[in-house]
Formats: sequence, structure tokens, C-alpha cells
Amino acid sequence: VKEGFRQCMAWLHTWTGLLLGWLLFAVFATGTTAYFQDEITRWMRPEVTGQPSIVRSAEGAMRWLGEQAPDARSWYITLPSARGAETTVFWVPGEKDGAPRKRGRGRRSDTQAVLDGDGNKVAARDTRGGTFLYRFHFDLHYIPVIWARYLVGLAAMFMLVAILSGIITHKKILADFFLLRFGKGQRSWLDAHNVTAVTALPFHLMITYTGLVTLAVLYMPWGVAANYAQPASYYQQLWGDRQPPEPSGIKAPMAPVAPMVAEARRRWNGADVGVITVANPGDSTATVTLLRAMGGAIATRGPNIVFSGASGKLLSASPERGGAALTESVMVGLHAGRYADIGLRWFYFLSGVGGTIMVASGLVLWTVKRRAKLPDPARPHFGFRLVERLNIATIGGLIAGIAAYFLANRLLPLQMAQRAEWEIHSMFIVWGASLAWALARPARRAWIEVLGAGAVLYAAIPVVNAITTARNPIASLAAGDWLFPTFDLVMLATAATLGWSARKVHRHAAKLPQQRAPRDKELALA
Amino acid sequence: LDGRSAALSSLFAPAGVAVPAARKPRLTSVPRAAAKHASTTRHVWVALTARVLAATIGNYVVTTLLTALLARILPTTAAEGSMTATLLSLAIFPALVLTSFAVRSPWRLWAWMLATSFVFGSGVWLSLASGGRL
Repeated sequence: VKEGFRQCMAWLHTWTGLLLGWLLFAVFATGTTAYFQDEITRWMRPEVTGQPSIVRSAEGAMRWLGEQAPDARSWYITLPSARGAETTVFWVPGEKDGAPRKRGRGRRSDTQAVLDGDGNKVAARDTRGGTFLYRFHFDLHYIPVIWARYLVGLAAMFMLVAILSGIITHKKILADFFLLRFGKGQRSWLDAHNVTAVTALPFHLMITYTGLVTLAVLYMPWGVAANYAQPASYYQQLWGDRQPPEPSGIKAPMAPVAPMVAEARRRWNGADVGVITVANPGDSTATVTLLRAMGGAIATRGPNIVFSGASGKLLSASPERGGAALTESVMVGLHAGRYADIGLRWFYFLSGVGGTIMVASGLVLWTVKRRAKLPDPARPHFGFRLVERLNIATIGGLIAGIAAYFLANRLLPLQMAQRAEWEIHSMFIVWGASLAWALARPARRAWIEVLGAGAVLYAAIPVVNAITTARNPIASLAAGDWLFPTFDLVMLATAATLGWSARKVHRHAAKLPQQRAPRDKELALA
Repeated sequence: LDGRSAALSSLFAPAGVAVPAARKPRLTSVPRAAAKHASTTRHVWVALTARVLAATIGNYVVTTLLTALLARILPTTAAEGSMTATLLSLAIFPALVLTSFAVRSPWRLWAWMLATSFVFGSGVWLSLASGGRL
């Protein structure tokens, strides 16, 4: 019965893994880049340099909003993190501004702006930077956000089931920790899958579970609905959110923000302010809410502190968190890794790369394992061909697409209308072209060509960067800036990895047709 | 259990694959006659569908009711109770998926799910009837 149970789990692992594997690959790959989203944004806005001060940025943003959006209902100011360079502001227009607020593309710039450390609008290229890749990993693109989140949640739950059933399937979990046999066909793919899965197993379990936690109430709203008729009152109790007061209509100048920031820092043992929210700006009822920066602690939902906008007096501070609220906050923090310093951040990134390889090798393993058993390997059945082609398009195509996104950032005309959107379209054009290519070409050739194209695109990034911006590696290092040279190195490393993979496939293809994979009991289970 | 997984692997392996001897069904009562084979295959499909539905939809209903019940009865504040139950639900659901595929009979699985749903649902109903929501 014990063997039977493991076989059951193996079956569950194979089919849950395959069904949503492609989406999981995209989520893992783009989610991994999100650990460096601030750095990617800096790279994609090469015009912005330097490290602004929090207080100056806050003052500058308040001044800018006071001039540009004095009648707004509320302002949201996201201050630069320790790794970022810019302040993002957006505002909800008041009734006075006329037209009701429209949602949708193309209107974003009307109520949103990127400011520099002195509160001036940044004269930088229009791009969504690393934020797009971060958002894509749970919001996807071109489809309504809510459906994307359900879909990604479903994939994450499949992933959790695949991990758990994979652990049960796997008997010799410790031995495989150290086992990676190259050049052995199916055995090597299984090893690659196992090594990347087992080495970072705690990470995979953590990242999948905490990923579900970030949107838990969306997926399982009934725990809240059991106690609250209105979800809003739940959040109010949980986080001490305040409903903004009704505006009085009496104008009052805003009190300076610097003392508020200083008071917040004092209360948070020197931790920085991350977000400032202003309700009813310019009104006598205005409130200024300061939220602790996410880099300050693992718990992602930091404490907040509320001041009167008119008098600058302290109104309230968020209550102490309960155990469950704090647990949730720490789980979300563990997922996003915003607390991590540079060393830990690289560890997160490499674990994410491991996870991406784990998903990819699992998908490839599905075809490798079945190819050996095909009745006629020259003419596989439809399901096999479909999986094979989707693997090429998803794995090779998305990776190449991300390179296209970076290249488009450097190559699209700076004054182009909807430039940021076209950077994103570039990624999907390359991705879609890879799919078309994978469908049109013999599978092995398609692998080599798509991987090779990806390698060329990544290798081109440092070159194009050096030509189109002043921030080439030599100039950067001379200015003491390590970000741009490191970015170049990561691009070259990715290009080398893709080139190496293409070469492996090429050599392997030459060795065919008669290479039979060894079959033992464990292979049958994989 | 061996019999079922062997049947599954033969269903999902690409056509023409010989199922290894060790994984052949040990259903002694089923004759090997070809006429019986088709009905066995259909039986396996029905059982698999029942199992998958139990692991997904049935599971979600059970998890929902248990989550709601925990949110109501955990000895803490309403907000903390809701949060604790919600966090637990993300562990309960995958655990029930694994259970769904480990239990021998899909029909017994459904019986268990209906029974627990009834118990949890009654608990939630009683709790809501005795004290409403915030």
C-alpha cells in the first residue's frame, strides 16, 4: 500500500505540475526579477542618478502635489526606498476637477507622476521599469487583473500540491541533494529537477505558501465573511485604518512634513518612512498618514502614524498587532523580501532562478520521459507535440521576451506615444513570435533557435546600453556606480547560459537517434 | 490502491505503452475478458472524475465551511480569528487534495466530505444564529 500511495502522489505530481506548469514558469521567472525591481527600474531610467534623501523627497512631493493637485481628495506618495531613486505620487481627483475618475489605459499619467529627490517631475523616458515584471507575476497583462489573480492563485495552489506530492514521491530526498549526473539523458533531467527542487525546497514551500497568503482573502474570503458583514470593517480592526473625515470646505495651509517624518522615525527606532497618504489636502480636516518603509523589518505591513494636516499635531498611531495579523505581515514580507540586504537579496534571486529551472526542467522531463516510450518517436501523438511546443514557446520565448523588454527600453524613440506600453508589447511580440516559430519548426531545431535567439538578445543588451546611454561600464565604474556593470554581467551570464543550453541541445540532437535512457524503478515514478 | 494507480497510469501514459507488470491491477474479481475491459475503463474514468471533483470543488466547500467555523469559534478577537482561519485554510486545502488522492474509494471520500460539510456547516449556522456578524 505504501508504494501505491507514492505512485498516486507521483501521478498527482505529474499532472498538476504539467497543467499549470507554463503559467508557473512565467510567474517564477518574472517574480524572480522582482527581487531586483528597484535596480531594474533604475537601469530602465538611466537619466535618473543619485540617492535622494527621504525628508527632501517628502517635502518636494508635498510641494509638487500642492501646486499640481490642490483640490484632490487624496494624495499617495511612495518615497524612494534605500535602493530606489525616485518618488512616485498619485492622487484621486476631487469633484471640482470635473470629469469623474476614469479607469483604464492611457489615463494613468493624468493622476500619476514620477518625481526626483527635489520634487521636480523627472525628465526620464516613459517606462514601467521593474514594476511591470513584478506586477506581471500576479496581475499578468492584457486580461482583467482580478481574473489574472484567480488564475495565478490556482497555479500557486497546484504548485503547493505539486511540491507536497513531489516530496512524498521522493524517497531519497537527502541523497539527491548532492546528485547531478550530466549527459545521461532522462536521468540528467530528473537530477536537474530534483537538485533544483530539493536544494531550495524550503524556499519553494515558503514562496508558494506565502504567495498565496498575499492574496489569501481573495481566494478564501469566507473566514472574513463569517465574522464581518463588510470586509472594510475587518481591515479597519486589523490594521487600524481610519476612514478619512468629510472635508469641511475651510481652506488651511498644510503643516510642514519634515517634523512628522522625524517624529515617525523617533517612534520606529530610526526606521524610514515608506509611504505618505494625505486625505483632504489643503482642507482644515486634512490628515497625513505615514507608513513605515518596507525595508525596515520583515513584517511588510509596518505601523502607521497619523498627523493633522493643518496643525501637524499627532492624532493617532496604529495599535499593536495581534499574533495572526503579525504572522500574515511577516509571511508577506518573507515572500517579497523587501527587508533583505544585498547578500540575502542575491540569495533570494538565486533561489528564484532555481525555482524557475525546477519548473522548466519538470516540464521538459514530462516530454523526455514520454519520448522514450513513444510507439513511433518520429511521429508523436498530438498531446506530446502540444506539450513539446508549448515548452519551447514558454521557456525559451518568455526568457527572450524579457530581453526584448530591456532592449525596447533603450531602442524605442524617447518621444514615442505610449512608449511604456510599447516596451511591454515588445516582450509579448517576441514571446508570440517564439510560439509561432516553435509551431512551425521541428522541435529540436526550434529549441536551438529560440534559445540561441535569446542568447543573442541578452548579449546585445550591454552593447546597446553602451551605445545609447552615457552609462557604459567604464564610465559607471569611474563614477563608483556598480549597478549598471552588474546588470551588464547578469545579462551576459544569462546569454552564456542560453547559448550553452542551445549548444547542448544541438550536440544532443547530433547524437540521436539511438540513445535510450536508462530505466529504473525511480524513473518510472518521476 | 495499486490497482487504481495502475489503471490511471495506463490511462494517462501515451497510447501503446505497456504498463509494467508490477503495476498491473490486482483486481482478482475482474475477469480479463475483453468485453469486461471497456466497462472497467469507464468505471475508472468515473471514479477519477469523482475524485478530481472531490479534490477541487468538494474540497473547497469543506475548506470554506471549516474556515468559517474556525473564524467563528477560535478563542480570540474577530479580526484575529478571521485571519488565523484564513491562513490555516491555505494549508487545509492542499492537505485535503492529497487526502483525496490517497483515500481508496472516491465514494467513501465523497461520503466523508458530505458528512464533514454537514457538521461544519451546522456549526457555522448555529454560531451565526446565536450571535450575528460585525
